[in-house]
Amino acid sequence: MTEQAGRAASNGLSVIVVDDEPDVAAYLAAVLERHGHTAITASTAAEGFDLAKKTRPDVVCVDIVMPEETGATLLRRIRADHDIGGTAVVFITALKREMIPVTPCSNGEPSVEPNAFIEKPPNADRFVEAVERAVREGRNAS
Amino acid sequence: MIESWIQTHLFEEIPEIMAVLDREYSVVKANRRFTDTFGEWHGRRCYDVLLRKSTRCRGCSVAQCFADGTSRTASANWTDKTGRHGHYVTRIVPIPDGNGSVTTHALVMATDITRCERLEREHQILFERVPCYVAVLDREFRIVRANESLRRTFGRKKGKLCHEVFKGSSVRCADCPALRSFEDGGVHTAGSVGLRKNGGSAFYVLTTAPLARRGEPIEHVIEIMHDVSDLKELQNDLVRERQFVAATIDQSFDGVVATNKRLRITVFNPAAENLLGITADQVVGTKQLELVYPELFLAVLRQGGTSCVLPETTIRAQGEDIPIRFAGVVVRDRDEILGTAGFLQDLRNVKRFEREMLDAERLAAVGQTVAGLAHGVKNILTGLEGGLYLVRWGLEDDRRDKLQRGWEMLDRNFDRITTFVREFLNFAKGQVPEVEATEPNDLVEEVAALFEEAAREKGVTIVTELEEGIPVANLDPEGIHKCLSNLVSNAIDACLLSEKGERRVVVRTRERNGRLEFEVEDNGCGMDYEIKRKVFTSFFTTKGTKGTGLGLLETKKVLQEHGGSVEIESSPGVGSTFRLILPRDRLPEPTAKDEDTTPGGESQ
Repeated sequence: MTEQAGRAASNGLSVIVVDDEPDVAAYLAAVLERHGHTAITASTAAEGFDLAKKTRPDVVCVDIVMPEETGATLLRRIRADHDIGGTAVVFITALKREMIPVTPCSNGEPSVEPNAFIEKPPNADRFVEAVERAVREGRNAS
Repeated sequence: MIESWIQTHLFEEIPEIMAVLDREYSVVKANRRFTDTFGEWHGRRCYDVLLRKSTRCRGCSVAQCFADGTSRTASANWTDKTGRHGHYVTRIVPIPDGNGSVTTHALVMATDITRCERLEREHQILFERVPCYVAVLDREFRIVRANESLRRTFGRKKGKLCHEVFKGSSVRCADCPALRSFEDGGVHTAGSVGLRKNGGSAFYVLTTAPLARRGEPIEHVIEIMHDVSDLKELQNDLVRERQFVAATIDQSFDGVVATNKRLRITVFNPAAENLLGITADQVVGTKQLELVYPELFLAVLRQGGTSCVLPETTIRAQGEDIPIRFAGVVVRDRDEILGTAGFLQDLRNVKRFEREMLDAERLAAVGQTVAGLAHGVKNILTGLEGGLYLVRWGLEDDRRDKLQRGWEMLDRNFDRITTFVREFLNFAKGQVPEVEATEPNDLVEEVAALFEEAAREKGVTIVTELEEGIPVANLDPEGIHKCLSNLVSNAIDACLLSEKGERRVVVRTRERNGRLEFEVEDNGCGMDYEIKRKVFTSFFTTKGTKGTGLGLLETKKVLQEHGGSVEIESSPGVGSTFRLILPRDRLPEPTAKDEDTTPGGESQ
């Protein structure tokens, strides 16, 4: 996404979409963009974390099943980070929610939960709604 | 005349040893027998001649004779001229002087009793020590003599009646062999049971013989009893042992068959009857070995072998080939057969169980495939949906850039789903493996040849290390070929991702512990734990949109269909080894040609 990086104008959210499938990331970014948000994409968890540190987005949407680091790892890294620990995280996955072993952590760290789950392939409108709600609820909670 | 002959010749001719000694104990006269026995005696003392001694004996009988002038009998041990010791009975008679008042000489007469004594001793030892009970009976059937063995077993019973001693009975036995020996003077034998002094039974064979020469009146009969109690006990043990073995064989779950040395069937237990569907009556006593032994064992028997273990074979019975495990022995003494035995274990249930296990594994593989399929298809669908979304956006808002991007996305994902469906159909098509006897090394040669050219162009060398003498195996050659191709293709890709100068893929075969193994090793980029964990589950690919992730899943599926498994050793930066492991005893049967075979279906 080259259009607009960084913070969006007025009420638009800034989003990072992380998915090892470039087309999936591109699709989700396009949906967000059409609803007035700004989205940039990353194809690995590591890249997503670096971008998040750099751009301080409102929300990170991440695929769970990826080679190398998984979405769950990225979630834990974000939550553990001093600067971006409060960022909303949404899991996008082709797997059923029950099948995802997000918690507990194998190394005894406290379990972490994402702000929302969205199943693949997402309905465009519902996806945007879920992302916006996740950010809203995250802000209310903090 | 006679008087004068006696005076002149008797002394010389008498068969006794005779010598005359003077009071100095010198031999003054001796007869021929004396000279023959003891040699030269002239002028020598008696103790010198008879004992090679230089002094007179203590308690010398001759000295006593000189002292009291009376005759006496004594015994003596002397040494003859050859140095042999002998035992003698002697009679010493004083010879007085002319007026009869002084004994001037002594006559010594001796009889050699050495041989008599030896015989007596032999008899004594024989009588006492022979491992039989020996008794001498008089005409009243009283025991007048009993040997040590008899005394030990029946007690000291001298003077008692024979039947009292041996049977504790007051009347004579009905068929008494001793009585018959008394009556007819012959030797008689009979078997009998006696009562030991400790209350136990003694089984013995009894022989009686008269102790008199033929024609003489029989005063005594000798009884010799040979105890066969131990033999009897062994016989009983043997019978019990046989009964135990017979019961064990009867109750055995395995079929047990045995023959005697003439190869007639002697044992055919109920389990064998069940397995082979024939009754013992039909085969016992016959030579129909082909009905009860597998052909391979009969060959061993014909070729002079001694044993044969067939972990898996079949035997023709009741119109079908029944899978069995067989162990057979031929007991031989050099070239001679003493007997044969065979143990047949019914493998039908085991086979059925194994088949069910394989089916279950196969179903599990299908389940994983379906789960993985959902993931793979969803990704592509999302891509297609994304493309549509962008196209719609482009059309609605007249945004050409969105239209362009959306079109590219549709195009790309359309290609992907086409490839995916084609490969998935191939994957699904391979459900029924065509199994045939296959040379494992040939398969590897083919695959290596297939990739050699393409690999060389990419700077990768393919090496084969094939163990010699690997037997043919029941494999689906197409399936294994596909597996090896997948692995070699992956290995080449892994090499391309590596920075190493020499890029190598090694394909190996080996036979180890009843397992056939194929190995594909590369020195490429290797895999970390996460990737290793995932390679065989679902449609995992690290090749982005270039791979469908089906290759390794397919490899795993083919291996499972062969009853085998796949192992991975890999470390990042070092390389990976994929090993296909095929236990020989789990390999499938060759596919029957022109028959409808459904995997998992019962063939009965």
